[in-house]
Amino acid sequence: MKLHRIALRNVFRNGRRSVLSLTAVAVAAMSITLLFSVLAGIQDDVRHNSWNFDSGEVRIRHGMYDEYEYLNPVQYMVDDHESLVTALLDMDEVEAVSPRVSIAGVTIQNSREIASFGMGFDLERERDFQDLSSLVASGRLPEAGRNEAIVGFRLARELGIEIGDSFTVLTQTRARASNAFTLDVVGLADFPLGALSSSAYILPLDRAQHFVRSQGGVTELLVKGGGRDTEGLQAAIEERFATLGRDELNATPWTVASGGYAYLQMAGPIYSMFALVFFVLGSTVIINTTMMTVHERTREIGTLSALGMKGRDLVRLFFTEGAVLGLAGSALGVLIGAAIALVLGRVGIDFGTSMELIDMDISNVLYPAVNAGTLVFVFAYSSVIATAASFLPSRRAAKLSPVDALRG
Amino acid sequence: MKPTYMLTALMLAVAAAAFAQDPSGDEIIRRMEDNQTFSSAYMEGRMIIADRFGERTVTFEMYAEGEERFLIEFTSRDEQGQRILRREDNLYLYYPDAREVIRIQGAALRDSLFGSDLSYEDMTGGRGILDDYTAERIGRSTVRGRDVWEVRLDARTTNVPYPQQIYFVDVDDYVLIESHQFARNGRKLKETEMLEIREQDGYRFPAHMRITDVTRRSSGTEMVFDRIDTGISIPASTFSLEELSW
Repeated sequence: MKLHRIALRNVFRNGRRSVLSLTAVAVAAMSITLLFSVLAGIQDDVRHNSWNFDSGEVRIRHGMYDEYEYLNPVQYMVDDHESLVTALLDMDEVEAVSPRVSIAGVTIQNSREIASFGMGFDLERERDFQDLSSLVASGRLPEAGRNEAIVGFRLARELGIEIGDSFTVLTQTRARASNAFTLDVVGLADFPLGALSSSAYILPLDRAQHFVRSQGGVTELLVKGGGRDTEGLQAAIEERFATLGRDELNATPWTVASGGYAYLQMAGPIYSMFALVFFVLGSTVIINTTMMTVHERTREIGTLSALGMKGRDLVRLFFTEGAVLGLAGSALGVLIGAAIALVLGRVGIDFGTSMELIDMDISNVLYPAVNAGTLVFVFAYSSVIATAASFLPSRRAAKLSPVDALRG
Repeated sequence: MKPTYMLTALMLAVAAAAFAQDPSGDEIIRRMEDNQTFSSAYMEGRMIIADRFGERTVTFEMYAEGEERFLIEFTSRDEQGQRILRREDNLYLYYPDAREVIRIQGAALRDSLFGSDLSYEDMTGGRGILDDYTAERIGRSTVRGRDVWEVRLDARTTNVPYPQQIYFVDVDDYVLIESHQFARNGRKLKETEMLEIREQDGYRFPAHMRITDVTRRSSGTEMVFDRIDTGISIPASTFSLEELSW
């Protein structure tokens, strides 16, 4: 009988033992798969939020605005933005451009000052940039030319306003003068970031420009390319600035501009540590189970030796058994992990309000992302570990004399 | 009585008489306020605000009645139509783009006015100083060549922007020459220097001053009154909320 048939028969002969080994390998593989899916989900989420609400893939601002950002230097705007947008959209590398006016302001209620952050969007152009309708929790988006706003639902709660009410914001104009304006609430927004739901509102770009007396300027232009070559996109935009004589402008890639990317850079090693701990734990379970299985069968090894099976064949036999269980367990674990990740990727993992306390571009609801490369890697890794784990005890058992092995 | 005792007694009497002639802190502040508080006034002025980004000028017209009623209307292009009304302890802001009048209370009164070194509270003054502070004369010195009384003001309540102030008041004509404002922990917050004193209709008052918020990197805000008409008749409706948003 060929060795691999004996190995397979052995796997099915002691079903309970095999199920135990397989389950241990599967659980470890599933856990690693899930961990990687959540980490990939966090990365996708941070990038998505940064690109849509913070930095774009590349952010264009007046150089002085970047330098004095902490002082809210609204006087340094991107002028003549319409012709700049047209020039950018002519570039092959650029997919969408979003001109924006940011309004840092406060609403005064009795003796309380409630800080808010207005985002003036070109609602027509924003359709190519992101799906704003997904933010609408109730009501509708504001319309261009009207003093309307969709307000983060938690900010609305803080201000004590609902759809149909209005609120007044005190802010600074481009001339560094003071101004206040009143907006009608036409909708409530549920931003992916809790911090935005607690502080932000969206108003039409033209009204935001009027309120801050921007003289046609915008605070920034967010640019999206395909995401394949951010540095290349930045370089191409800077070349275009030189052609247009717009040396006052800065093009900053999201890897520099976004707090989210910095967070990913910072969190990357921490996540790697988590993954390593999972790997070590998973590997320990796989090695432990496989070794226990071989040690348990020392007497059986003695019998096979007494019957004339040579050491090399014994090693191959147990190694094949280990490989079968390792491959099956890894495949099962990766499949179950991927299935759970796919379901969670649709449903999301809701962290509730806990994420609001963290000043990072991570959504309250995280959607794990399944990556084919990761699945192949986890499957291969788990299989190799499980198979290799059966090799050492098999070789040790094969070296035992039949008499010693039969004594157990 | 021996001559020595007589001489000592005489010296003490002279010293006491001299001391008695020095006005008290309350008296100095009262006479200073008499100098610069009009029953009613119309003023035109400008604020020159300088910071790291440059200098800009805000012009305004101001109506004042007594110590507690002010209406300031801004006339410079960037602030055109904006108004501040102070009535008793209440301060209201009107902006043409806003449908509601903003009432400023509490800590917000200490916010900067248009990014200047003045707060809303500084700009519109309020009740008499002695209502809010106890005054103690702490010395006599020279400020920019003028002989001045130094008067320390300690807040009676927490409802004032500065827990402690030191005023330097001209010994001869009781005009405020300089003042320093301090936080509760003794840290200096602001300095106000009077750069020009004008005499008009029997009053002597600062017509050009520089206010510097020493807590921020700023080169100060200058306030200049180009025109002051005192004792004018102001319709009562000028200080009404209804009139504010018209």
